Amino acid sequence: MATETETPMVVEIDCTTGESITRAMTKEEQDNHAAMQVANEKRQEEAAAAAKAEADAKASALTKLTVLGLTVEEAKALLK
Amino acid sequence: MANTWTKIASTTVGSGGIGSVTFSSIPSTYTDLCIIGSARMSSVFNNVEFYMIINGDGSTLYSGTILQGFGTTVNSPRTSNTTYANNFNAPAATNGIGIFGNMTMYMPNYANTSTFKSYVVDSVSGIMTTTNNSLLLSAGLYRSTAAVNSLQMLPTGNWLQYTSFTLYGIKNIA
Repeated sequence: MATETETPMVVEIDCTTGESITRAMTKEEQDNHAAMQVANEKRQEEAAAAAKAEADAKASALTKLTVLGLTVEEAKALLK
Repeated sequence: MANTWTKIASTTVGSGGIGSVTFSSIPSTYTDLCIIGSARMSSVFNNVEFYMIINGDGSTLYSGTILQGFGTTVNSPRTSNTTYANNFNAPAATNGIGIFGNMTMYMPNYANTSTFKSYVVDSVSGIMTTTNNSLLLSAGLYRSTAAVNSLQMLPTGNWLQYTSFTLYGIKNIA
């Protein structure tokens, strides 16, 4: 299996001839692919942080609503 | 309906893994294209994105709107002016051996030289937990009027063994 230090291989299938070619990824392709993955990692972290922030805010709101006298079920209904 | 679908090409990744899969020289004789995939990647992240590049074009012509289940939360991120289509996801090696996701990408009117190319994706990972993406539905746009003759599928990391992609052409018949 290709590792991070090896040159990744790519497969190209010519849909007209049916010929399949396996070759090494070019330097430009490797750079572009690396940039995609960095951007992906950032988006994943942002999505996870946003999901956590929303969950935390809901938990805080639930606590505050129950202090005001709502039952947990009533507060959860409001937060849906 | 079924007899209008033609398998154009298919590939299954071998034991060495592969960095990308490209369908090139796609004939313009169909009305629509569809890729169906079963995929797993070598990424160290769970259920991450993978990418599609159309016609080998790495310019900022791609955008997408995504509706995804992220654990127990649903969110709807949007991407614009990216140099690739990124509205796909699949499980990664960290998700466990044997766990594959499946995806379908449908692109109508791909050979028309007057219209931008839009496509729809449904992408389901093979793992359902409270912390991982499990379902992704998205709309994508490639703002080019060029006929689509090449589709490249790029993973985060490498495609792992048994990952498969099949390209279908759909043609209207009387």
